[in-house]
Amino acid sequence: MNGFLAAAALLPPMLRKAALSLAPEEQAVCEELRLRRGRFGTALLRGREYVLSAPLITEEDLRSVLEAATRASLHAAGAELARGFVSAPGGVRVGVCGVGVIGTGGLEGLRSFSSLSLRVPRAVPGCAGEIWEALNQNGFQSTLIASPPGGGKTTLLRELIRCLSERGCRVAVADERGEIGAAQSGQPQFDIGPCVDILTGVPKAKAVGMLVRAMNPQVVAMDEITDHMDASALLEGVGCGVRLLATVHGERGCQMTAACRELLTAGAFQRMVWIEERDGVRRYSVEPCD
Amino acid sequence: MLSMMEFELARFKTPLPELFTVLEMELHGEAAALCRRVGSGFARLGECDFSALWSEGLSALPEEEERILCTLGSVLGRYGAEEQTQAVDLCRREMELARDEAKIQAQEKGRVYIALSAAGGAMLSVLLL
Repeated sequence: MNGFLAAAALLPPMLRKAALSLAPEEQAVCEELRLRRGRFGTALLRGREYVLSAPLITEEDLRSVLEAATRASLHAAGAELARGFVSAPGGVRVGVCGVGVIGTGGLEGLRSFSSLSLRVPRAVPGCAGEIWEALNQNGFQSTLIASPPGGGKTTLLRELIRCLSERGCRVAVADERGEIGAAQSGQPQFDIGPCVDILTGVPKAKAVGMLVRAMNPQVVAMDEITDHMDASALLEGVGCGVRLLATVHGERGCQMTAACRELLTAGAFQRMVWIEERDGVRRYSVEPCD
Repeated sequence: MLSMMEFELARFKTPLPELFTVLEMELHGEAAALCRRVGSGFARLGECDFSALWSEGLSALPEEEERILCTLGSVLGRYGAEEQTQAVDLCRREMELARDEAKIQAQEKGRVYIALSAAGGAMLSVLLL
């Protein structure tokens, strides 16, 4: 599955044409397509934004993208919009900025959209090669992957799931945003291996409990531990003898999130993978969790 | 059709592809055919936008109904549930007004409309409401 084409397919015609006119080697490394109202659309390549040759972005353009992303059902995407994104076909996550709609229950959604960020999903088979041996020394143990936003955590997570699954390990995936497997009608479009059970669109904390109780997993995988509820669900999984594979936003030397500290303190993870970018190259390092 | 659409959007926030499937099953005649035409167009969403699919679906309707319903194409699926139900409600009221006017005209002229298109149009209005 080509994530760049899936993202470009959401764009209105002139922008799509401009995106598709990028050279194949640029499409292959494009991380995001960014649309800001009143500005030119851009493609994020290797950490820099490059202008796409198309007219200035209008609000109609942004609505057109959201229509394509939600299959003409923006009204049904309120819960996702309240978290600042919508999940589009092909595993594309569309980050949304605009004006908050506040109701009796708090933030209910967004309106007057001002900018969108289309995250290009990508499979990089073999990207875990350099750390696979280190992660499997004395058997696979619960592993936490950390990097700043846009650092490649989901890509590495996807590849590790595939590698574990290819070796016969039963992996259950809590894929709340549909980015890990890019499931269509429940079927993953990315190759994540033969021994994977994937729950798409279910809040992570709930999904972990469902998977542990019903699918007899050996490993539970999820993306972006964000809050205490995620942490509690993962701790329950550990209590049931399940190993974990998860990601978190973080940078070496900086304080981790409260949820992450809670899990590390409880000994939920035995190994940490740091993803760092130096001189435009991504590097992975594996450390024991102390 | 419009009443059911308003209910589904307000109560369940039903995604449009599912909504038109439900409406097609629940309705009959031209209203069901309209829902089927629009529903079958969702496979092309992305190549064209929903307003184009909606316009295509309406093209088989009489002119007056097409004119009133056309406005929904730029609203359905693009705004929050509340804005959409307001637009559908407005459309429904316009259709009711058009139907009432047509009845008054028929009474004033003192004729019985036996032409198939007129009878079909009145029946269609009932189905679309």
